[in-house]
Amino acid sequence: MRATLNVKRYATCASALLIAVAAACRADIESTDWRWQGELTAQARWFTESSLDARQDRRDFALLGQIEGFRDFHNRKDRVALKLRGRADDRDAERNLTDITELYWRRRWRGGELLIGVNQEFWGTTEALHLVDVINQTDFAGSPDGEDKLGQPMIRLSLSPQWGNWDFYVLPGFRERTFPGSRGRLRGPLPILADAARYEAGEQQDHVDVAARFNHYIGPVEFALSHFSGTSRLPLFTLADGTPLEVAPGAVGALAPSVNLGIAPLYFLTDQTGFDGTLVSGGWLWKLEAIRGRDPRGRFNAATGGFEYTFAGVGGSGVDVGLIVEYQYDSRPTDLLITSNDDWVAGARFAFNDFSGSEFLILASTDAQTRAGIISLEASRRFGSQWKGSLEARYFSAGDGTDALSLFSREDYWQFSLTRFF
Amino acid sequence: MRILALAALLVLPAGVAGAANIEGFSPDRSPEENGRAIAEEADRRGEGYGDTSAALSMTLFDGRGNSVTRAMRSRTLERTDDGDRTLLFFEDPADVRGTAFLTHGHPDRDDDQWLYLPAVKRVKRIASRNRSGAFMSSEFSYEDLGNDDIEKYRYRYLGDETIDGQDAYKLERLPVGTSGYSRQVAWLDQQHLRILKIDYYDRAGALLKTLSAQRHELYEDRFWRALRMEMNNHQTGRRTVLEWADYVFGSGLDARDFEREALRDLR
Repeated sequence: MRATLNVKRYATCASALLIAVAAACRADIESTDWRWQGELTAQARWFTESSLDARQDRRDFALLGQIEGFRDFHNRKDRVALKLRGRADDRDAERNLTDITELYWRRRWRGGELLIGVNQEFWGTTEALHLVDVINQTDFAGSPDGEDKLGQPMIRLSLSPQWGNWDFYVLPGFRERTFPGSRGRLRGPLPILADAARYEAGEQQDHVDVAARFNHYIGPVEFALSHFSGTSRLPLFTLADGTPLEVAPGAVGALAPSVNLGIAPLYFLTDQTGFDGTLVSGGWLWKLEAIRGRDPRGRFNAATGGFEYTFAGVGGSGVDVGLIVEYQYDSRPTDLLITSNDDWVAGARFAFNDFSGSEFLILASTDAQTRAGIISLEASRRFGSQWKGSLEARYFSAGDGTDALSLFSREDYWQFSLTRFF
Repeated sequence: MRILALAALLVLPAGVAGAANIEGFSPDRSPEENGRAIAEEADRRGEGYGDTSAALSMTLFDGRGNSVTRAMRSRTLERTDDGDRTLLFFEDPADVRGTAFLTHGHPDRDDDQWLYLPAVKRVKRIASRNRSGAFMSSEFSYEDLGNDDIEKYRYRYLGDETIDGQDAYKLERLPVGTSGYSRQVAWLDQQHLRILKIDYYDRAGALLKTLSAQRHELYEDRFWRALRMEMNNHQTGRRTVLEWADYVFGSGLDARDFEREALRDLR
């Protein structure tokens, strides 16, 4: 049902876009040809521990595809663009994905631009956690790190007056967060039942959200203020039968896995104001993100900040090493997706500057009180000019067992990906 | 304030006048005064180009006989009230396609530089001291590819030498702001004041790299551009060759093409 609604919405978007394209094509002055590119990825995951739920497996295999193209008109004043993403998982149908990540028409003029269609937007500055980034829904089934996003239908008006840059958004059509299904991983003992999602807004997915962002930079200082009003991309959770799931991870963990039991996302209405800023000083990048919002439990504040410092060409080797330290605070109680209440993150990024573009990133986070944490590794390199191999690993530590993160303590995994570019 | 544009690479000083007329250059003045006079004249001759765009190939050599080539595009916008702006973005290899590098040059302080990562649609600021880091694994640093305004150095005229059969001024440049170098020595041909060669010395004072600029072409009857630049790293034995093609002047780029916001749908 929900899927149908989305398809309909997209079809409407697509039609509007095609009309715009047709209009643009007719006045075919200084237009470029369509330019296409694509990639195909084979991905294998191994979980080091077997799950308590017999429906799950220790191995998982997926194929991912992506194709994107664009065409410019009127000496680059107009652009139409398309980006489709798909994923097929051999075990978990909930990890299957067909996503219109981009499908838009954009017109630029001297002082601004207008974009209509589906697009992806990133807000923010910190490395480990993205608090202010609220436009696009997260493809959590794709990756637990929150970096994978789903396309968002939008009308975006950008204005660049003398001072700063404004973005105004109207966001029709809500996208639900993807979660691994009962047969899939990575999840806690109880599966999250995406189909059982509930909404605070009466219009459910048809609620129209709005957002605005102002950003500017003055030499070494960059800052942005943003506001979002609408259905929160980050849900709270209840038991599937509607029973409130008060945050008591120990209690959830004690429930025996059962076919009938699950957790339902609750997409509530929120107003969230955000600030993000970066300060450059010598080799230092200082970063801060802070939000103030509300959920059904009341007002909350959250912030994350820290620094990145890069040593260029360490020991004459040509290897660049970047150190990352960030602190995360959240006034909300710990929850399946809110685990950064009082956490420290430290890590290092290595760029080897070799022909194959080898990179390595290690990040470790730990909660100052519960000692629960994550160690994550990401490494990648190119093979020739058309292939790329990636390795990703995550290790979850339960700490004293009171952190929601301890629900994932059996979910340590290694993931290998091989990508072919076209 | 205009660009002296040696390390800026994208904008080489140009000129059609002969060597005879460099305002303020005279044997009875100090090396510092003469050095500054040469730099100012080279800067003046590069003025008025408006904007340029070009295709660019970058070939990396590792010193063991292996090489690999990348394809990029470059865009430059001249600014009269501030330093020039440059934009470089990758077309190949495929995994970094769309990665872009933006510089807002400033005559009186460190440049502002950003890197755009298309996979996460994210614009990342580059810390000013990290400018000595390698640009996409090449022997060119972010600093080398940044803006090179005349106020970024103190100058000293070191005499005349012949480079590849051309009479050249030898000029020392001492960085004023944040830099990965302790000093640079540049050779400019006496007729057109085009950069022929630069020696870069690391912060410990040792010779680190040498840039050779070749195949100078004249555009719009006024502006010289080197179509080939080779950067040799003496400490690692690696080198990088940049080659330009399809230079277009006055292609109608405006300031908005060089804003951070423009990076997010640049391709």
